[in-house]
Amino acid sequence: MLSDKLLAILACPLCKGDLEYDRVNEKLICHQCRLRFSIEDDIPIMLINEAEKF
Amino acid sequence: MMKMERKQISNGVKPQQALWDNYWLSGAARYASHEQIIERIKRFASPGAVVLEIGAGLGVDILAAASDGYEAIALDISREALRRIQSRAEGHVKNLHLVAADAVYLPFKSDSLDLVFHQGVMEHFRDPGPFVHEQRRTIRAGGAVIADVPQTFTFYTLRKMWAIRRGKWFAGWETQYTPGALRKTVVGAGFEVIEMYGRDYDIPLFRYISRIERIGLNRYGRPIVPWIIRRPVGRICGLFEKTRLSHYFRQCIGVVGVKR
Repeated sequence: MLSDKLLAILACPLCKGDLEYDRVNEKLICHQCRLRFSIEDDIPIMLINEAEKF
Repeated sequence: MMKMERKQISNGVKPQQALWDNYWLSGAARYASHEQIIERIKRFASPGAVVLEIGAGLGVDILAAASDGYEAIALDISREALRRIQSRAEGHVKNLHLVAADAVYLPFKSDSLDLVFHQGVMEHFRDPGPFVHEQRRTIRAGGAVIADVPQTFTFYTLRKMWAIRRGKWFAGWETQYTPGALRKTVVGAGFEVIEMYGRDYDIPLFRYISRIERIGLNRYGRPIVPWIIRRPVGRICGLFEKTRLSHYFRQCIGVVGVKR
């Protein structure tokens, strides 16, 4: 579970736009870049090369 | 000494990620927190402020910042480094956040951070421009950056250059900064330089005396180097450290820049 303080400042590493937090699947989603970033053990993996395209 | 697990990571990861994952897994790095950095964090940001360490590595400095009450974010390209920081914190530090990311693509909103620092990171970038510009983007107006790098005129540089030539340097390649080049890099990204500092000596005589000094204080609670050596060396160091020239004799140098 990511803290609200961190969520408030996190942005997409590519377009710097807002992210949607999918609490159920533990993902951070950038709709603009169509990228899904995973969260492993409360660590958001904001690496573009590892993000899932959709 | 604890034996660290050695696990090679390769498939599906960028070479830089694999390099640093393997480096932190090897357990080769051991260092204590850097008081010159901690002291400056306290001076340039108040508790509760959002402080980011880029390339947190062992996380000793960012853990200290978290204990001091900052909203501390440890960022690293290596999740192995972050997992180690996480296990060391063990939930004791509620205001510690971990983020895996590339330093050139910071996953933070513009003007969202109060202070950003990095130690032993910038020298790994062939072009530090995009790296420092990302920091300027994410720091709020009035916020500060602390950049700490190896200094050029040291024996360390010679050893490193020799190792790089033979292909034996752990990171493959690495550079170093003169005080002027460090200042120029930070100014080039649009920061105003507030101060520069140097830390640790590369001159063997000074280094050994301070090491013996530390052993004496730790083991016997008193200095063991005779005063006839300790006093003049201490006095010379003290006077010398007040000059800008001293930065050229230090192992590492740092700069504090403010975003106006």
